[in-house]
Amino acid sequence: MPGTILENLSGRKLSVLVVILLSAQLACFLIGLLSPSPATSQGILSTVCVDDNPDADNINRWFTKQCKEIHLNQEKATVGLDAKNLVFVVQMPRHDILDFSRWQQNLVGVLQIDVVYQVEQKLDPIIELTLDARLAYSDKTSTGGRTPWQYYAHAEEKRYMDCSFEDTTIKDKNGYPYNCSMVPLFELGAISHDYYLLNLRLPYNYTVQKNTGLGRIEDVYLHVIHMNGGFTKIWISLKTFFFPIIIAIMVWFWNRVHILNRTPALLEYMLMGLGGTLAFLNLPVEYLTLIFDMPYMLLLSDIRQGIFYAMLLSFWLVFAGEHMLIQDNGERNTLKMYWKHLSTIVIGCLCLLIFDLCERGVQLLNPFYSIWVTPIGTNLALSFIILAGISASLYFIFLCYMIWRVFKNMSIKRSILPSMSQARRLHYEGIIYRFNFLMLVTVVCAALTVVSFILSQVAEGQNKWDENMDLELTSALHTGVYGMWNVYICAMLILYAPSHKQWSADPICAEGEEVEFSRLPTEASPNEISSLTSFASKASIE
Amino acid sequence: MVVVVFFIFTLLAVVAAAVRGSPMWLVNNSLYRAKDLVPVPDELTPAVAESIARGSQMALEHCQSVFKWERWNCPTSSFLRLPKQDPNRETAFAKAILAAGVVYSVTKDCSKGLIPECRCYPMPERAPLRNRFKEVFLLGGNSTRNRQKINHSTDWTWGGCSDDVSYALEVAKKLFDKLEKGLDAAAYVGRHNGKVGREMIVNFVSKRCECHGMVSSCSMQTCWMELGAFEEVVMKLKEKYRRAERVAYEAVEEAITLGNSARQWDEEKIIPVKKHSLVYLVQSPDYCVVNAAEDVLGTKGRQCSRDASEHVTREERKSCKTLCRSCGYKVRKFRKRETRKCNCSFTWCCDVKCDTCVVDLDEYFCH
Repeated sequence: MPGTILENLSGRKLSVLVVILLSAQLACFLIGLLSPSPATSQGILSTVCVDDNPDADNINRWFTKQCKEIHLNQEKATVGLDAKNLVFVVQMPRHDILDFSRWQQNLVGVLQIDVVYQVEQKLDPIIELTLDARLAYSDKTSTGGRTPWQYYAHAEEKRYMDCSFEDTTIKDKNGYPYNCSMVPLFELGAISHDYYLLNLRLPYNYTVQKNTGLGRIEDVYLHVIHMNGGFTKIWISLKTFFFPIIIAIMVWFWNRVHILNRTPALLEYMLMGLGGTLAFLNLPVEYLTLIFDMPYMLLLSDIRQGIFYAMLLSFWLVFAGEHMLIQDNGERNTLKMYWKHLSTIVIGCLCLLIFDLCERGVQLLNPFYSIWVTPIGTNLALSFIILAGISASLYFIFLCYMIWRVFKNMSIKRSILPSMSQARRLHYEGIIYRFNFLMLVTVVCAALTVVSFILSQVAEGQNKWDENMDLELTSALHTGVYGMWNVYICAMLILYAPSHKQWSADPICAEGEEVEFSRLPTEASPNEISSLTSFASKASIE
Repeated sequence: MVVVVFFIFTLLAVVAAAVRGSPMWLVNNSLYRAKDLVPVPDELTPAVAESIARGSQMALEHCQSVFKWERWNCPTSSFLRLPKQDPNRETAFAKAILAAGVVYSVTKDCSKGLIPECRCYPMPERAPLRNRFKEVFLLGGNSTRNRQKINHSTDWTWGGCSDDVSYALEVAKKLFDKLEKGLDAAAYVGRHNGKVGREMIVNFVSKRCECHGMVSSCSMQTCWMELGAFEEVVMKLKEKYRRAERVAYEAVEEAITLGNSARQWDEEKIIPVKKHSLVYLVQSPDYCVVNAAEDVLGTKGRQCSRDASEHVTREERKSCKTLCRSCGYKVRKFRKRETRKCNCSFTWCCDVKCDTCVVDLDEYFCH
């Protein structure tokens, strides 16, 4: 009868495999230590320019840092000016000598508006902003110059900003800054140009209530976040390394299943699917972004990760379900049996997909778009996220219930073990032990993922500035977790591949004990993947 | 009249400083010739020097604003000759606020892209292991020969250029090392107080984060450092000014001689007080009376306030006592009718609509 490699592998071979996998895992973590942090932000203080001709209707009229500059903290300078006369100019990257590289993948812009306290001015805690934002790009020319600024995007968008005045002990508040929240401005899915230029206006219009709640602005910062080239390089290298390996293991796995001359079991299909989604995730399409303009990469990578996680979650469900130790009928299990459980995953993922399409999908057309600014959009986004959350909790309830049942059944079966002969008992104890070991690995992997997520939050969240912060843990945690799931799935594919060893060749059976197993229904139902489940069936017959 | 005198004095001081080549960093932008006037350390460029000038100007303005109602009111003249000033409590504060102002200003100018030097900071040598790897990774191993080729551009593509206050701190440190050079007690104390000022900016640096991971979640998060309000830094420094510690000249000199064999520049190990306190060596002069030698103008003729409204600081409420009466002067009241703006309303961007009110004001002067 067919078993899996996991049960038939000798302890020595198993330990060799574990050592190899663990060292691959360690290598992934270590390579992350050499990488810079995944992304960097650059805070750019905007230059405030005076637009003498604000009604000019030319979209290719760009203000750069070399304009008629004024300082907003000098009240005299702004006398007689109108809101539409002011243009906040931000050139990216901050220094002229540097330029963006395609390795930096994507660009996220966040505004920070410093509003200062003024005597006799009451500011609403939530300020509605109307932003007229225009983006232009420019490229390096072969002669060392730059092409003229070219229109990239333009939109007038609404945003909300929370402002509070925290320190009430200050007596003379005039000129003190408010504590205002960040305002997300744009998201570019691809950096395909060398330089970008933002011209931001904050138009004032009383009749349509544009920027009427705005206080005195002293500075406007734009924080641009881009991926780091070094991190992208290491990330792509990891993908390039794992992609052929996972493909090779899948081919080997499928070969082994086919040699057996039977239809593959459900768990084997699931394993193949898991391998397939991992291979899809590992496929280094990022190489293409270095040549082509692919603004949909953010969306694509979200989708790829989403498919992978959905598959992983489904796999766990089916894995637990197939080890329920109660399949006494010889029927073939299909996915249909799990439709209730799997629908939670499907609904959850669909919700997130729709949400992502509404946010990042629309951003392909308008990089300044955000779903959160209109009440309908906010409600829609929230309901999708809440629905996804509900599905996720339902899923975990299902999963925990199934795992609990597996363990309960297992302990019942374990109580029957002493009635068996010693050799057989040891053998089954070994199987249960290895099964538990793999369950343990899954739990450890999940726990490590959660821990590394928390760690990276803590590492980022420490509030004090430290000059000697040399060790970059965030990247290591990212590569470590990525490598871990690769290793985990490789291990699953290898250990759960069908074994060629037959029970008849097994020395345990050669000792002349009762050959109960040959008469088990498992032989008639080759879909049973492991002899553990056949053992369960047998036990239930008993 | 007083303003005119001050202005002339400033002008004279500028010229005098320029002629003598002595430390001089407070300048109006119009008068300002960065390289000639400030002994800016050689490696700093005009852009940095200009930023230093702006920072010191800002420090002076804030200093005068928080000391408005006190006997020592942070006169421009004493700010100008700061390194030559007696190392008393007020000088300690002025040096600290100057250092803080320089750090603040340079950091801000960095984020405006005005200072090319801070485009990629910290410099590569700060992270030896990772840079070694980067060299191998980028340049195929033959790194010793190619090391020179690693420039800001590759650094930027590889690991980005995170902006923090490191560069500004270094500028301020270099400046103070230059201004307060020497191994005497006063120079040590000066450097120490500059350090306290620099650290105060760091204390108010806070972190902001933005999530940009999968489905905009926080699976990927990037944070940056943000300067606190300079007003808050100044308030904290003023608190330190109140709690400043006096050390005896001898104690510092002795500590210096002990540590001198190693030519330690690290004042923190030298000065036998708490690390983060402002330190002074001599008692402050009597600021009530004119003292030309000490550059003290006295409080006679100064204005004080009897405003008892809620938003008035303690110093202002007690100002007539501190400035006039305890100095032995009388308070003289002048009634004044003044038209001023009131009931102002603000509309973005630049329009302040106010009513004009006529108010009778009582002004008080020390006499």
